[in-house]
Amino acid sequence: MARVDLVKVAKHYRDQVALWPTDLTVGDGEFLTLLGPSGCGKTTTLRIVAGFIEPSEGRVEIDGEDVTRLPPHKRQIGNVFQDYALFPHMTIAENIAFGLKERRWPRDEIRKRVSELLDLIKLPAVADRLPSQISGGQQQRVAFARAIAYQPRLLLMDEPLSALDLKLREAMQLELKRWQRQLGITTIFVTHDQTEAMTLSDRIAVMDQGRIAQIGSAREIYESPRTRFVAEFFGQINLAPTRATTAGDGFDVATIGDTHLKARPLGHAASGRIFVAVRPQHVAIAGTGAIPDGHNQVAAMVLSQTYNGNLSHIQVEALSEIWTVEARPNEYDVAPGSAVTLHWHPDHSLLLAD
Amino acid sequence: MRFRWGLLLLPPLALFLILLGFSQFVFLQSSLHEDLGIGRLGEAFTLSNYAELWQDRSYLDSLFLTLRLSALGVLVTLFLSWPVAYRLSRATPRTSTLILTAIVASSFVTLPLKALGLTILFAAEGPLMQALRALHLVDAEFRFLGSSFAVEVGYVHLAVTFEIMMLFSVLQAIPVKLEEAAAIHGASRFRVMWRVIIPLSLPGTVSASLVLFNLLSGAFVSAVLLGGGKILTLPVLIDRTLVLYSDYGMAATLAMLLLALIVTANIAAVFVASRFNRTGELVT
Repeated sequence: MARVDLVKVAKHYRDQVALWPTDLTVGDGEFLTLLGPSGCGKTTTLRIVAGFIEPSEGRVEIDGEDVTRLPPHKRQIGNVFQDYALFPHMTIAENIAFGLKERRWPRDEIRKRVSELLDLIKLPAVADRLPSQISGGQQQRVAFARAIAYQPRLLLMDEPLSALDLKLREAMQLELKRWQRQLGITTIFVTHDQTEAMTLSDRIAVMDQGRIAQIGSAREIYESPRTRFVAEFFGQINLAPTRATTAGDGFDVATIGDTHLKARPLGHAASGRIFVAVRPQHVAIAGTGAIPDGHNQVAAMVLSQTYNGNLSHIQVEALSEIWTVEARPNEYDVAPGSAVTLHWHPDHSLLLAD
Repeated sequence: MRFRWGLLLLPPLALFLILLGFSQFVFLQSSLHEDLGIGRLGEAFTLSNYAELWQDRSYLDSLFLTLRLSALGVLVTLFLSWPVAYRLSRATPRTSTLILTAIVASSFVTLPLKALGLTILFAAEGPLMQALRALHLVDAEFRFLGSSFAVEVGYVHLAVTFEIMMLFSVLQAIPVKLEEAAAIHGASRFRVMWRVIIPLSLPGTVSASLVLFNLLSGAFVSAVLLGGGKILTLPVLIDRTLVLYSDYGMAATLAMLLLALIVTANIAAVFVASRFNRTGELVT
């Protein structure tokens, strides 16, 4: 088990920057996810830790040991690849035993360890089959077993579930998490799927354009995103650009046209535009009753309504933006075209940097 | 009605049967008649031509020479081409395209011209031969033209571009991800080669080598031009028997012998290759 430190690690190709100088620490036994859209630098970061690409600057340390120039095979890392990358000419048992054989484990111990791992991944009967003879989900498990077989100090996973269908993916997420807890292995996981990141991770680093935009627990990031990008990538959010904000009693006041909205202060310096934001589930549509004191209020027009079974989404036009209100089905009886008032508690209002 | 694409296979099949099957049949038939001189064949079926193959050492010598030169040519070419093809398969598309284009362009130079180029390069008083003599790699009497060495160089010269292109497509089909998977799980560069790349490329390498062997066994131009009439491989011998002696029966018999050599070598190679299991280790 190990701790990983990236110190001012950067990667550029000629004049193109894949990763700006980045500091990142993964604690012993931690499950850290690099989350972001394609091209954000998450895979580059992972491949630098693996040793497949050398950083242009900075260094990588595992347990304080500088491994920046160490070739992959000497790093004691396990890796689960996106398309599994099982060796097609070896049986499942041979695949799992690959790293053990490279480490010259005695034959008996290899056999014992392989059957132990096949039990762990609940596939005791496939040992002698070839990768092409088992299903995608099974291959995924075998890839995991191969990666942890020799008890590496660090486990890397690059979108390991993206090739599976939704049902299987959800089941595998829970299993991966359980295995990781059981083994207590430090893990860096790469995905573009926000839900997957939230399900699995102790901490999440949201990446954007070669930088870590924000790092923290799923709750911290969801509830207190720092930038518009993070807020939008991490679940749905309603936004409106504001011209000016002024400090108030506990809340800042943002001005949009002649509407004044209270919101939690930004908490960090920002240049450029500022947005007021609120998540769809926190917005209510005013009915016949009185709007609670101190709530933000916005005039809106209903555009459409969609029904999703347990939820319904109401699209409205508010502050010249298209917003969404999330509600229980039949919570509101609002026809398209009708004028309504939206309101929410200022605690749910955020200010976001662009 | 749906068009049956399978029907498109018929014209090539017909061509194959007429051009290849029919000519081999003619050879087989001619080989079973005695030569009566100046191109005439005897009426009766006889195995006398085949008996002569065994009695006259020169025919069997020619067979073994052909086998030896072709097999050695395949090995040398393989060792020269494999690393090049591997490197190309792992280069950026730009680089590999550029180099492969250059390789294809080199085949614009036809075989006789390549052979001529070699004789100039290896001229007795040329700098290359002087250097070889100075290094005592060849003795003073050695003449390039007419040596089996010359024929071998010609073979490799002819074969290396084919082999690089064939191996390139074999090696390019092996995903780089597999190399990374092997490396991260503890295999050094050498071990990645040994446990992953070589076993996965083995079937393709065997078939590429067989194509090459078949090509070299029948190579005529290099053997005749660089061998200077002294290196009598089977194709050269067949040509002589036909053109110089007009012994059509014996020439057909030698053609059958060449065919038998190629077929046997191919079957043997496939058999040996199948003795290696998927992981490239010899099954005992």
